[in-house]
Amino acid sequence: MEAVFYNFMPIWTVMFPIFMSMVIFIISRRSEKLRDGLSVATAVVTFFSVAAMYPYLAAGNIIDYTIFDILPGLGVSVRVDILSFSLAIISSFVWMLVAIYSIDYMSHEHGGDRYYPIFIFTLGSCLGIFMAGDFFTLFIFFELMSLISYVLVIHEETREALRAGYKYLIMTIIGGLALFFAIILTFELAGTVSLSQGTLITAAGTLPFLAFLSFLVGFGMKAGMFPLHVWLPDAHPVAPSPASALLSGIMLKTGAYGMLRVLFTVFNIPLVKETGWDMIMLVLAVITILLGSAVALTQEDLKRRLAYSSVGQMGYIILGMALLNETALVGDVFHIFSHALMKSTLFLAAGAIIWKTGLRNINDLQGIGKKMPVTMGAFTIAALAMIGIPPLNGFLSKWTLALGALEAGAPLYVVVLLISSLLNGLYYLPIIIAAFFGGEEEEEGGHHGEGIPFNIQEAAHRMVIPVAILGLACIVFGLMPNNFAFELSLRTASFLINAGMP
Amino acid sequence: MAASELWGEATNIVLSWRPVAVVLFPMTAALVLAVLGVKKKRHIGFWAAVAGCITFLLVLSLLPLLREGVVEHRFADMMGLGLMFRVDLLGFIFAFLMSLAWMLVLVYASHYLQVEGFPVFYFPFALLTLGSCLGVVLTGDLVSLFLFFELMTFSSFVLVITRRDRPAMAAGKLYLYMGVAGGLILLFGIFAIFNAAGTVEIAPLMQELAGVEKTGLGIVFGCFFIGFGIKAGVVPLHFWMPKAYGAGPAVVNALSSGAMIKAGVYGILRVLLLILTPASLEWSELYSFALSSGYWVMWIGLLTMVAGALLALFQGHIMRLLAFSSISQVGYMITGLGAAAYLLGAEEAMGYSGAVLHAFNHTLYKTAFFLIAGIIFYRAGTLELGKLGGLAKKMPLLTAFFVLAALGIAGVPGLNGYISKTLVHDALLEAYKLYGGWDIYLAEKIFVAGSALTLCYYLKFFQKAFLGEETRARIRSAPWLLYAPLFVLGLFMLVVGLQPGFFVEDFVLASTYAFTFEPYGIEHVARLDFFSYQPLAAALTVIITAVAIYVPLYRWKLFDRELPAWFSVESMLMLPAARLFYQILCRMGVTLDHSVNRLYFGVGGKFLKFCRYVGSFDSNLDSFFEQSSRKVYRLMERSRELDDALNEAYEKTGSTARDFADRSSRLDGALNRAYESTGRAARGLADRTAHFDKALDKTYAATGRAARNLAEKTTRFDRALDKTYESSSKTAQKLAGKTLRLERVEVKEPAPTAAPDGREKAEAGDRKGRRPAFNPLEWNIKNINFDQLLMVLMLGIVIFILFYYGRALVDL
Repeated sequence: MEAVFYNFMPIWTVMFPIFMSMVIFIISRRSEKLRDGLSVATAVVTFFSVAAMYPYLAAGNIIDYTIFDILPGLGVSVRVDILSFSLAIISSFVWMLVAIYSIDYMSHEHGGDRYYPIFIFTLGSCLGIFMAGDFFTLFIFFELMSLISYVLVIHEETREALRAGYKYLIMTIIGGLALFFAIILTFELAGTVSLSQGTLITAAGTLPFLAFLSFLVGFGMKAGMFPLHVWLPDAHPVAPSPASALLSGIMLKTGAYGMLRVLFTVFNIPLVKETGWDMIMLVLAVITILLGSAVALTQEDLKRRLAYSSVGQMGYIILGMALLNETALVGDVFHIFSHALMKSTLFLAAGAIIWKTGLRNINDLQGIGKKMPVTMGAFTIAALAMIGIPPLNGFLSKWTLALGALEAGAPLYVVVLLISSLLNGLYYLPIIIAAFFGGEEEEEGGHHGEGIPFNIQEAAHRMVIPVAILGLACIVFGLMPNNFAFELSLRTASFLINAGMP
Repeated sequence: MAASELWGEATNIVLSWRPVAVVLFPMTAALVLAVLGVKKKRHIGFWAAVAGCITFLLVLSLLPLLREGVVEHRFADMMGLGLMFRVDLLGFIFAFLMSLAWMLVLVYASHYLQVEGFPVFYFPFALLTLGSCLGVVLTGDLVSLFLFFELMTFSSFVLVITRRDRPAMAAGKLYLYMGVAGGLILLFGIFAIFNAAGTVEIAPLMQELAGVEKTGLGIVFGCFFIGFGIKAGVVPLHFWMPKAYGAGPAVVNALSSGAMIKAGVYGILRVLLLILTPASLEWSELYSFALSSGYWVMWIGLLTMVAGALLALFQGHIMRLLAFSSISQVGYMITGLGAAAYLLGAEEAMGYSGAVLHAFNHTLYKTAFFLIAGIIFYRAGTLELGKLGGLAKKMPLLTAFFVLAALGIAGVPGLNGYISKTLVHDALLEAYKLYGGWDIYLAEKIFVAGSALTLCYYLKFFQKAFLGEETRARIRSAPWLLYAPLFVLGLFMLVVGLQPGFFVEDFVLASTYAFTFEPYGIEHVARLDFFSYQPLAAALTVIITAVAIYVPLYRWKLFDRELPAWFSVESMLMLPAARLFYQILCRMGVTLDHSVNRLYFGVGGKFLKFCRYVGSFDSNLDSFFEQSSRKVYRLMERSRELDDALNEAYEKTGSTARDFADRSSRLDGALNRAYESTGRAARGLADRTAHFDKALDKTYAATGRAARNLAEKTTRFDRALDKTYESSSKTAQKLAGKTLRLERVEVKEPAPTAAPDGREKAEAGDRKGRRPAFNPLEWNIKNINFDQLLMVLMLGIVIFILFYYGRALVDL
């Protein structure tokens, strides 16, 4: 009975938001308030639905249920293991907060009637990726999410946004095709694409390598891996800030999730190590880290800087999984949590500032911290966590990642991590310094540039509270002993090391 | 040994909350003050001073616990690794000097800061920095230490930028970036230690690290040295210090120089003399790393010492002079530590105690110097040495304190500096004794020269500020509160200087229980007599050298020269390096990013072009197809038209034919009818003809009769006529006779009149027969003529045609 109930849960969790997006779409013609309320309610219910699966999974069970088969070994199925759950819970959590944040943010934007259904639909398809039981189902939801989120990217409908959206769309389609090719190859080689069959491809060769490369392109595109990251710094800043938070905080992780599945389910550690394919990922990850951090330093636009920072941070995650040991994996999964929290905080805080002042250039944000202390406080916490200052969560993930790198016998990667941290410091600290301590010297100098308006206050409560919660989460997950996220990371890592078998 | 009786064993661990309270109390107080301080700006200083005093008392409250053993408190698994507080005597000494400096500076600042306009952030962040500084020295593992070290960097950044003007912000940013960079480098060292040894506990780990290569260990130690060295101001990494001190108020610099840089020294000490040493006294290869790194550290210390002193000599601003002085003094400590490591396994206690005691001494007199500088600024309003002068007369008390501190720092016997300098100097002498060699000999001479230079720049300071022409600046009076901390510091200086045994034996040497030092060396230090001939002679040498350097410099007024801006480590080495780093990474990153983008666009463009080409081909083909198809279409159209036309034609023809057929059938019908009617008519005609015939017969008969009648009549008429003629002729004869008679009267008379009458009657009868000619019934052969027949025929044809077309017209 219990098993039947839990088999049904992932289907409900995925389908409920998708269904509700239709309802919201219809309701939005009637009442804006009802539309906003329903969106938040849907996100909250989804979060609790995901959370409700935890007791069953914590007991060591795996939800695995085939809905129907198209061909033997190819069908639509759901599967929730501890890795799926980790990603689903952080996604739905952030989504819930962003939904609350959106109410006030979107009230001043056009096209709310379009935004909310898409927003909720994307939640459903995102969870669908994490809870898919085979690559075929995963692919369906992956494409759904990628294509639907295009609407979020171009929401502003400016020339810039449309250009970025076009780039995003082209790249996404290329990625989707590569992924499709990889799945076909896998099906050809293994006879199945299910995630619950253990290692699918066990022997090296041209076709497996081709499959690996195609997977890398397909998921790397989404994850913003060098040299496929070019859409990311264009697409993320132009979207409305809550959407940027989700694009950067959550949707990039779908790529990372896919790569984890590829490394540990499609292939296995001995094979990847033996063939040296991990070196490809490591090299790309190192370039991604350094490039993202270095280019972020040269950006003047606040949201663009954050977007490039995301590129760098995704490099950490790719690096962590490519090191192929348990410690690095703990750091990797924990960094997925950390980055989701940190980057959402940063984007939402930036959004609140832009919402209030209309300023995007970081040179204009002198003294904003005094006017909006809570928002900038959360921004500061998240930025310090990005740099890796203890006792914030970013430090913990960086620490574990670095230990993983040392365990793999490669202190070079630690150096890369630290150089990137230094660069993070160089591009985040001036914002914080300017926000809290800037502005006074200008007054003495007697020239007033385009500064923040005089009468700026903290943004609306429904915007500040989600930002504050996320900022606090950065501290709590860093400081608290044995926190939930770290525990999940530990279990996920050991689960993955055992080749996806509990 | 006395020390071991006084203090607990290192192995005896006392669990207590007190270290946590020591660290958390100032932090909590900072939070409270930050919240309350927004409204009560004036009172915040007082409460901050109270919090500083309470913290000092809390630190002192650790003493009874230390008598039992090492105090510990662990938070298991905090930050995933555990947070561990651990206080041994060395940590206590540092905590003591920090909290002492803080307490005095906070008391001083509560009044002093009015010249700086009571910056809001100073007090809360000063307390936060105190908490994190205490955290650095009271923690038992490297990760916890790192946590507080970073916290210290960030909170002290706010102190550095207290003034918020442009130089302060610039200096603050430099400080912060260097601090963050140093922190990350430090973190790398911690990673490496944890990876190799499996623990980050601050304990001898050389056994665990035995497998690591020498170069690897060297890199690890280098990381620690750079990380801590930035904070301490070791020479190639010192350049943030003059900038930050020059831009900050005295109360910040006093904290920074008096206490915070000691956190860096403390870190180097722990790593060099504890972590990278073996846990047993037995001589082994494990010592060799500490020895060689100690040698280098010693040289870096000497470099720092001499370079700092030389640079201090050429400063015109009091804060900058004191900053270089601090750098130079850190050099003493580093030299002591290096010598201790170099002498490990023999006389290491000498260098160690010299370094630790010097750290303590430096806190005493450098805090005093900064507070004195603060009072000068408070009263005279400037810190430029060129604008000051003659302060000795206006501020005698201050002058006394200055002299006391200057003699202390110069190492004049009887004051505290003498003791620690002697210990470091003796350590160098021991090293020479042990190893020999010209380099150690040179090191000892450099040490003496450095000490002499120290005395020189304080002489310069004294002469410029306190002697000479009186300053024109307006002198304010200062309250006693500003002098109170100086009394405390002066007292400590004298006590250390005059009663060295108490500090050296009971505290500094006793703190070695956490280390694995040779008891023989410890004993040696304990037996040292500071007021014997040899150290006194060394001190005298220093003073004589100082005078020998000072007099010519003063004579030739070389002090007034400022060093050129390019002549500094910063502009020669660090700035280019930082710029290079920035350029390489950012340029490369941006270039790479752009080139990837461009590559995509290029490939995309090529592809697009190809597509366009194919498209144009396609469109050509298309247009060809289109054209041909259009032609075909047109052809088809035409044929269709033709077809249509044909069809139409057929149809028309058909319809015409049908029409025709219809008509012909109608014609046929009509003909039929016509025949019929003609037939009928013919029959009728025949009938009529028959009638006619009959009528004709009758007519003939009638005519015959009439003719007979006529003939009879005619005959009758003839007879009548004859009779008439006869009568007429008789009459005529009678008449002729008469006429003949009358001939002459009437010439002629018309002849017969009767004849014409008859004819006339016949003709009239004819005419009467002809007039009803249209009645064919009355026709007869006599009155019918061709004209009439023709007309009747034509009339019939017209009627026929009219009849026929009338039908046709009706049909149409």
